[in-house]
Amino acid sequence: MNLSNKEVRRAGKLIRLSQKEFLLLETLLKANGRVLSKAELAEKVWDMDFDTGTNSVEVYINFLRSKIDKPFDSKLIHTRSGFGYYLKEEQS
Amino acid sequence: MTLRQRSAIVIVTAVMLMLIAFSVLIYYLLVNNHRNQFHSILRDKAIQTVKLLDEVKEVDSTLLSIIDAQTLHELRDEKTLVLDSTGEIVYSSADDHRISWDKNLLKRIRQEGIVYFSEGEYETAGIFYSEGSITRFILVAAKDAGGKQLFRRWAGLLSISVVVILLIILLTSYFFAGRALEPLSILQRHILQSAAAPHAFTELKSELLHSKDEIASLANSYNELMRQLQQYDAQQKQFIRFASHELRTPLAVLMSQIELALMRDRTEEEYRELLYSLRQEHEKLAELIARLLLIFRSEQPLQKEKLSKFSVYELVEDCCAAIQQQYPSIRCTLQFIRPATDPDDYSMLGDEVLIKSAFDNLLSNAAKYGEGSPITVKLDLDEQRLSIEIINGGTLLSTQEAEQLFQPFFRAANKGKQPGSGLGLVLVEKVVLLHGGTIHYRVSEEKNSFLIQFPHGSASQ
Repeated sequence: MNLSNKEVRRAGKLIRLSQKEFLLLETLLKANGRVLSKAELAEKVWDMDFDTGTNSVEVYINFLRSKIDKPFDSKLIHTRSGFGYYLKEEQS
Repeated sequence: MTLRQRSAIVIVTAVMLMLIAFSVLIYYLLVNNHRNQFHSILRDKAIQTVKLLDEVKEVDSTLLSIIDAQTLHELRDEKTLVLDSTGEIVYSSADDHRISWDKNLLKRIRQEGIVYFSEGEYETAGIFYSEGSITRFILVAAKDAGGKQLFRRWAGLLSISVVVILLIILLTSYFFAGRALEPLSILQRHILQSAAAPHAFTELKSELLHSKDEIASLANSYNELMRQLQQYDAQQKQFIRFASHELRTPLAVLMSQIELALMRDRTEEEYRELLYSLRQEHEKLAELIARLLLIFRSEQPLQKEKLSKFSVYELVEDCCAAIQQQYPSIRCTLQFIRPATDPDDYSMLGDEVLIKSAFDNLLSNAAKYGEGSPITVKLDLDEQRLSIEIINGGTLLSTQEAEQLFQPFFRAANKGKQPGSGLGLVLVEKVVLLHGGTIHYRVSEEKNSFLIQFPHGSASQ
């Protein structure tokens, strides 16, 4: 993930992300594997108070999964039920 | 020569030729009929003479000559000559005129039975008569002075009739051609007047449009042409207003970026970044101008080479970010109604530059007239439609205002001191319609809402 030119590559392949998707991935990456709750993500990415009834976090996590995980064999974005999301490279 | 004069002359010439041919035919038939009658009288006279001479024993040539001389005849200067089969004169009426004859004539009379010929002023009938043992050649000659007079009278009468009829036809055809061509004159006058006042492109309003003839068709075609010219003229004028309006917003963004950069000293790197960003904005601006020119000048459907597949939610995100940069106090959020799991589901085929300019316009309006309230963009997806709803919490528009919203230069009462030309929504509607979509203003949850719907999935194929 190149923060200066806003480029994301996985296994050498360039992945096109929207501004929010990039920010979401950046936030997850900076958490270094720590589980981030929806409230944290909503605040950090969207600058929103949690519980505003928005589904943006789920929607964008899905979009990120489609773009980052789906074309590849291993998953990077994981869900910890009831807690939140974290980034971890699966050892296949 | 006017069309009216030409039509009259053509009609008169045609009628004149027909009348002359008709008159000659009548003259010929009348003359022929008169000749036949005269010949018939000559023939009767010949038969009568030979019958008196040969069948009435009491009548000899001397007595017959006396009877002839004393009888009033309808024939003038009549002379009768009766010859026997050898050519000897049996009877000759007592007249001064001498009928010339020879053996060849008698031979012809014998062969043909009856022969008519003219000799000076005289008409002569030669008849071969054979009854029992009696064979006769009768030659009867008489002047047809009455006939000649009659022929002259007929010729004169027919000539005068032809001239009078031609005069009548000339006048009536000139009059009726004038009346028939009056609509053409109206059209001609209108065109001359229109040509004298350029850019008026006035349509012809006349009763002649309601008839079904060629001139009405011409007038209707002329009106259609005028309507197209009016439309073209209006488009040209509108384009200039559109262009200046469309350029104002991106220029304002550029200006704000420059002003922000000038607020304090920046590093070389920051200046470089700013210049790159400005160059990018300039390129977009140039492309927008080119596209506007293309649309408003040609009014052609979207060009294939300008079409691309782009993500609507990414575009809305970018537009939202840009508006937040311009209005830092106004929050712009994107909401997904019935969200799709695959981001590709939000992609559409279209002219991204134009769609972006439409979104920019709507978001800019929401920021300007939303009285500081947050802007919400709702994206919804079903099997047939991709909907984008842009909502702001500003003063609600009245029903009357809502109806005029997409009219050029209309500005609602909430305009305040906000700059604007009343053309932004016109362009938005045009872009949306160009992409096969619809746009409506509505009040949603007591807020102003613009709902755009594009055909999607199978509907957009």
